[in-house]
Amino acid sequence: MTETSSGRRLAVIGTATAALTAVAVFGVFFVAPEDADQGIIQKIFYFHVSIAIASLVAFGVGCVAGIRYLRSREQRHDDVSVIAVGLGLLFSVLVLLTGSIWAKASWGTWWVWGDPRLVTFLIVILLYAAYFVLRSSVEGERQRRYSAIFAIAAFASVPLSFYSVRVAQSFVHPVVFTQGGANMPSSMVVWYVVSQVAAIGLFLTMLQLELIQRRAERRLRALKLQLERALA
Amino acid sequence: MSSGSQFVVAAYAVILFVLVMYMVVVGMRSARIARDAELLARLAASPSDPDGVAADAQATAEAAEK
Amino acid sequence: MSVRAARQFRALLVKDLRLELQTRETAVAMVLFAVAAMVIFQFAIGTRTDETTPFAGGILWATLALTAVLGVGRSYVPEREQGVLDGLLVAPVSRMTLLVSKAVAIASYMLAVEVVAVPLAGIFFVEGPFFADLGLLLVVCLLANAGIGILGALFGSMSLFSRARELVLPVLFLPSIVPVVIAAAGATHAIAGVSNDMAEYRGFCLFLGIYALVFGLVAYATYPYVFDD
Repeated sequence: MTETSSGRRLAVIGTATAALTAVAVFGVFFVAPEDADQGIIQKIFYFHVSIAIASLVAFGVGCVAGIRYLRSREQRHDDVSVIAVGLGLLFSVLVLLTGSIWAKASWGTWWVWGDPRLVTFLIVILLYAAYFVLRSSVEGERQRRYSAIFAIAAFASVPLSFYSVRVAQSFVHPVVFTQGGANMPSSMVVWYVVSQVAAIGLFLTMLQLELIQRRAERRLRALKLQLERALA
Repeated sequence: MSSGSQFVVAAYAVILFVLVMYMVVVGMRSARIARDAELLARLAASPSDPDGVAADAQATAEAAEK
Repeated sequence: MSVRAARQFRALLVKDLRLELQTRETAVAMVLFAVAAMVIFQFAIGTRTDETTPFAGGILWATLALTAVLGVGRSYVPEREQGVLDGLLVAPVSRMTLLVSKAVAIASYMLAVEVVAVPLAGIFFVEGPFFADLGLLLVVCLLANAGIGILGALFGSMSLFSRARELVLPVLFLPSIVPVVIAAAGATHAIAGVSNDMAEYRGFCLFLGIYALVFGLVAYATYPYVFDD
């Protein structure tokens, strides 16, 4: 991959994302109708849910890249995997933060054990933080291999965790706060979709940015070694 | 501002804050890359002089002349 | 499975279990740990209320999850400290056989602990008929142990090659085992106490089975990559 093409890709994805984000914010606040039950607080959901799904997309990318790494042992797949997992983790933290603010707005407390999405993301954060603990305790080629294995196992864990939390909660607190979903009027759905695409675009932009940097760092390191050896 | 809107604004502010902090981290990485590139350029220019003492002396001399 | 693979599997499994029976270290320590943990949970939660039956399933499975971490760590001691690993790697044993034998060994340790811990939890925490449902609980234990064994074998092997392995293993293992704890505690709760909610019980057991299946597949696909060859 040449340098100009990856830079160009960043420019295209980034600009599209920026435009989409602007359109989404405008649409969410000025066009989408206000929710009858929750009022303006409901507007948090457009980005809370979009970021949540974007983080799951990120973890999926990490898993797929891990599979490709195990098959090909090519460095670039490990690059994509580790960056994607890191971004997924960042987005998951954002999900918890925005979800917590919503909980405070709706229920007066900063945390509720009754919302399956919030609890699942807590588990997900623990899981993928462990990914980095694993990475830091293994070196060399094995680091990349084990990271790939864990990225795959962790991603398999996510739907299982979500489902088990939801089923367990429904016996104690019947799930009441899932807004939207199938019940959203189409005037809201369109702005949700726009925010969702924007969030995924944000992930892709950040991924591309970090990939470019990571490769640059690696080339520089190799160059440094080369020079030191040549001058010695 | 109604109390509901305050929360919505807070949520978006948090998202913005985290994204800007992310940009800071990425920016710092870029700065380190630039620093390394600079170091390597000096190494390549005068291999016996990795700290750029000679290059610094020359730059100071040029600045004094102006 | 070929005859040779079956024989290798049995040999490996017997090796693990025989070491265990001879020394009896691991099983006894794990049982003691489980009992101590349950006592701690009682003082942490149970003293707030006279009604401990709702907590019984949760306390039992939280304890068993922590015991599992201990057990997985201990089950790899021969490989780590006594050089057994080098011998295994050189021997022409398929990696899958290693995985399955390790998983079964871990599941067996867990069962040994559960034989003591489950009745004890019943006595400590449950008011009302409990022992009549021991057969149902056995099913829950077997299904949960399958998931624990598979994950323990996979992550335990990875932690063999890591620095700070006493930390790495729990950090990897516990978040992954959360669904098992949730489902097993849920199933236990469904049948503890006076009324048995069989629909709930079946649902949770099905989930445990799916979990073991999914991770069985993941482990099957990825285990060969744990080793350098």
